[in-house]
Amino acid sequence: MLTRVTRTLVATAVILAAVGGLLGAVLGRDPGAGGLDGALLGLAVALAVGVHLLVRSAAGRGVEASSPEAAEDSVERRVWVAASSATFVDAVSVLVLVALLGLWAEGPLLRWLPLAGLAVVLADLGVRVRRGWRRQVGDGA
Amino acid sequence: MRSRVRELRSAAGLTQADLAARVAVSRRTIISIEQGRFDPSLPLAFRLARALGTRVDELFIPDDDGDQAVDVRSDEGVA
Repeated sequence: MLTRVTRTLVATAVILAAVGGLLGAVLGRDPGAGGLDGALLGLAVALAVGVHLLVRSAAGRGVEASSPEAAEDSVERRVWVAASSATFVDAVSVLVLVALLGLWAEGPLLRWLPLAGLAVVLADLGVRVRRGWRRQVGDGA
Repeated sequence: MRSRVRELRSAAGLTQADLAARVAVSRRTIISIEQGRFDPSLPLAFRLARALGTRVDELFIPDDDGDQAVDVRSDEGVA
């Protein structure tokens, strides 16, 4: 168990360093951004990627992952997978819309546009999970 | 799709939790199948049939597709 955790941590650290280094090098060369800004941004993104990978890895190996509810044939898992699959298509559309609007947006709108997109996707996922749950499990179960 | 899971489970003296543990799913999954809200995957249907000592086609009964499938086969045979 410890070996697997160590392996995950090492892999995460390597990815983090690689992504951070790459982003820092690319952004640091941008005439619009200072070298330090580029490196800091690269490090921030790499940290986010690292945390994401760690949480995902830990979730896949935790007690919850081996519970009956997480079994492939369980209704809980099927509701979640169906909702996630449907939300993915919507999320791509929202991402495209945010990217297109971002080309013309300025000021505060540009700052809040990605957050608004994220809120829409999360709300979409919540509604789909709730609808799937009510259809396949019911309210009283 | 209708199922005889509740009937055969009761006849076997199993609780929903017992059956769920035997086929490695949650108890809520068994409840949803018995209520006809949730159609199980093919592997789960086979596990349920084995746990209840029966066959899949005796455990799950299609609402109306069964007759159509037979019609299609007979049409192909004629052609």
